[in-house]
Amino acid sequence: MGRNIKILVFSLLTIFLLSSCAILYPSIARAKKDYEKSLGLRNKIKRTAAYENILGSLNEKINNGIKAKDAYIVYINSLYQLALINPEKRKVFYNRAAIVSAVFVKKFKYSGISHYYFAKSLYLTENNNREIIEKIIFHAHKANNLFSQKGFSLERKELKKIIQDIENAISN
Amino acid sequence: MYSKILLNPRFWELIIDITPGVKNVFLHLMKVERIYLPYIPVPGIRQIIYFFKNDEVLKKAFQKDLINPYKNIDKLKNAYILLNYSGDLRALKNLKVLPKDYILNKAIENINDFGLISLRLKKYIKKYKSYSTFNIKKLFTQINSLKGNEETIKKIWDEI
Repeated sequence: MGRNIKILVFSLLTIFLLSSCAILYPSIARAKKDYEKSLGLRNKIKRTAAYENILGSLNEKINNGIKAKDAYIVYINSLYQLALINPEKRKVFYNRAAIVSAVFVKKFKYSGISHYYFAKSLYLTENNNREIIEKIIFHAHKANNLFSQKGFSLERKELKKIIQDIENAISN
Repeated sequence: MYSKILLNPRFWELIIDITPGVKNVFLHLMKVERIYLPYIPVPGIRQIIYFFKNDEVLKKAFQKDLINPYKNIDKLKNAYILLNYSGDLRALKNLKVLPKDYILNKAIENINDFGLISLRLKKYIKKYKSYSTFNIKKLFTQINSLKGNEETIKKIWDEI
């Protein structure tokens, strides 16, 4: 009898977990896949449409402050790609990326990657306000401290260059 | 040949802080034409411009494009990815804007980095034992032969 109850509880738990994952994650997984596919597109119009679609599919989740790192990463990277395609509108995209990464940091306070995206996005907005510069330096150092020693050397290298550029600008 | 390694994004972290030139030659030996973007962060426009303006040789080579970098961002982005994440030595050799043998000279200048790569690779392979040891041994031999050996690097460069 006891064994049957255990099986029933585990089955119900499994069904619950599977159904909740199915509700939460397919759109993020799809967005991730779409993002990777978009990198192979050569046509600028098609690429723009692909990134706009990704942003559209994740917009609501991001605005509601979803607790899924991948959603923020794909969303912010899509904005970075759009800025590269339309450099004249870069500030719009980078400002949006900065706002989204601020939410990312709020949701994942102890994740190096969230602080990395916040520092990078703020830096890319080309805002030379002292307050912003202080924020960039603070979050870049925080990201460096939170990244484990072994991984994220690409990101750490980028942050090093960002700080270097800012310090050069200040000294000039 | 090394497809299993290439699928692991952590692999790219082994070589990312290695100087351009050495990195390009290493990727060429790995037969990697270009590291795909999902494994590398998307470069921002300001970062790309800083990269070219911060290096005297590159600044001079791309000075025309740097007058209006936002208009020429596509060209600068492609050159940035080629210089930082590509083993396509033929494309680098034929990049007309760069001084002649720029990549070769960079590789020779930082020749000791080949030793650093082989050390890291050894540790990496030890950690992920499932990779084919035959191919890796071949790669080790190639890299170790480049350590402190200008002639072999020149030979690779000339063969392209």
